[in-house]
Amino acid sequence: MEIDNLTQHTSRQYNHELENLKNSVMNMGGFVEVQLTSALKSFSDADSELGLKVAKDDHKINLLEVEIDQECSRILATRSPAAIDLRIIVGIIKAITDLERIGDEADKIGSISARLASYQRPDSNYKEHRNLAKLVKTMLHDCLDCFARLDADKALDIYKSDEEVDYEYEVICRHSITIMMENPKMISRINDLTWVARSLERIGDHVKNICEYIIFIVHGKDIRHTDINKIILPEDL
Amino acid sequence: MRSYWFNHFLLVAIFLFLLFLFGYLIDRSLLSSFIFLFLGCFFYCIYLLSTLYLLDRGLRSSKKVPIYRQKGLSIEVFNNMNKMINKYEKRKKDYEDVIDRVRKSTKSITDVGVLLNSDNEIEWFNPSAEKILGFNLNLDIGRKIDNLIRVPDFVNFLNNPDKDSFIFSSPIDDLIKIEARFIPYGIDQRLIIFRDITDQLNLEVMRRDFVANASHELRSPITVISGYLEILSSFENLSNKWKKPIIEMQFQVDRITKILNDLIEISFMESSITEAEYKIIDVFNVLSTIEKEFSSMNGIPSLSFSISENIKILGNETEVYSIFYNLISNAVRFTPSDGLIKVSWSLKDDEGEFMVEDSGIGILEEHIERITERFYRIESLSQGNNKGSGLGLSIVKHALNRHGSSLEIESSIGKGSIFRCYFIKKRIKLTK
Repeated sequence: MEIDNLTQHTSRQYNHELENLKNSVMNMGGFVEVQLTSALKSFSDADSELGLKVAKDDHKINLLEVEIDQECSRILATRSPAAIDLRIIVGIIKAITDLERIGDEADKIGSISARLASYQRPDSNYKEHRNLAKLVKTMLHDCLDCFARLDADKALDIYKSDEEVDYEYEVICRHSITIMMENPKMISRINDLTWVARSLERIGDHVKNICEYIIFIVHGKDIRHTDINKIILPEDL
Repeated sequence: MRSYWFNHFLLVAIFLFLLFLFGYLIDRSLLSSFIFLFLGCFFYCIYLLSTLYLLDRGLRSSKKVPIYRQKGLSIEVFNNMNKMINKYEKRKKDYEDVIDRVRKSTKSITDVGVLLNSDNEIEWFNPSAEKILGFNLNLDIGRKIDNLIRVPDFVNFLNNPDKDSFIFSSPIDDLIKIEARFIPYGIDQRLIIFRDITDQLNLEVMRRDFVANASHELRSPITVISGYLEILSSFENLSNKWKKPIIEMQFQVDRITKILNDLIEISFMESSITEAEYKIIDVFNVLSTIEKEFSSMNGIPSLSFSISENIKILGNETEVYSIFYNLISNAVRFTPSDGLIKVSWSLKDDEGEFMVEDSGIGILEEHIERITERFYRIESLSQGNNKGSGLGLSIVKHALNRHGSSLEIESSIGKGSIFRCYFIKKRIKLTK
């Protein structure tokens, strides 16, 4: 099924606009990915400079979001798209909000990392957090790949893998509470770490949302708020 | 015309003529002879059609035309056809072999090749792309490459490649570093070669760390030795026998210290990837300090300075100092004592130009390109006491790189050399 083959319009200009729109979303996604990667690097390498840079660059993502949003409105107004084109545009409008939020979370992780960099670190160098980070980063990357390929089946897999992120997050929380009870002096630092984990968990949720939009774009099916085990994607049309 | 066609025509003609004759003989009228002629033509048509049918059936059921039970003309035609089919089959198999071989070899190549059309859409890639870039052979043909490799720097490089190659982290694993190289071909098409250079980079880092550590470690023992040598040389009742060796040792220890300092400086500059800071540097002050240093030396060529005082550099003062110092001291070392060295600092096309012109021995063309490599020396020159550490120009190059600036060398043997440094516009500040 050649669903992303956008060459069937009579107006070449229209094709071009849709193609460009998708491209700019991918660019924005790329930038968000870099922000997250840098934020996580600053977290694991205790690189405060990098962390602050992430926080400083966050406004670029916001600008991209506004730009893409405007372009979407323009296409909606001038072309009145239908069927898959309409779904793509609606999907994009929603996805960029989530991408922007992911950028905000990366910004948070960056600033917290900059602060954590000056503290003593445990021998494990926050292994649980790094594991969670790796999981979330892969999820985001795969999710953007799915968006580029409009691959609904893979999107559903990613959608399901969010459960694992939630589980890891819970483990970290419980672990943090134990440490805080044992050693009240560490509370402020552990608090920061909980925020990092929280941000990662939120990113997982945003990625999950984007996966929902991908499935919506491809199949026109809304899978929000349904039981995860009951989701069945239609066969290829 | 081929002989079998001639035979066939002859046969048909004779056959028809005989029928015509036969019809005439029976009835003695032209009518009956035409009826016989017509019947003959009719059967001949049926014969041709049946042959055609056999041919068609043969072609459809197998790839060969059945030649059994055929005679005369059709056996020749069928044979020709079979020959052609065989030839075609063989050629097809040859091509398939070639394609197979190419496919197999591209599969085993660890480097990734990606063909792009003018819209940056992927036309082809070899399977290694799945491993290091995360591409998918079934899904990604025809997709835009910047949708899959989304690193912003890569996307910029894709749209306006200003360098030959570009290094970035693999989209699927940060630890894998990939070098991309663009090769244009056809009309507006491009081949990108991606190479995994992680090991190479790691080796480079190891080498850098080794140089940095080794020079640091060597510095303290050398300091101790040089301290004792200084004490020894200050003894007044030192016998003449020892005086000369101790002075020589002191001289050599000084040289080692200098080399070590240069090594430490260069490894610092190599390891910092970021560009130099933007602090205002008064070029006039820096150059006067250097001038003072040289004016206390004996037997060196005369130096003339022309400095525009209102042009300041934005950069790192220590590094700018070592750029200027190294270039001037090089000129001093390779110019005879009756020569002249001109140092100038001026503005040229919005860029700051620092120039050192000497009337020294000059550099051969073939050396100019390599002269900024570390420890590169021109054999005939490295004699006598004017030895440097061999790192001077290498330091200059790295320091200039960190300021986003460049070095130009112009030289002719026997007449002297000109070294020009260009500081780019954003590194220049004009004051009144």
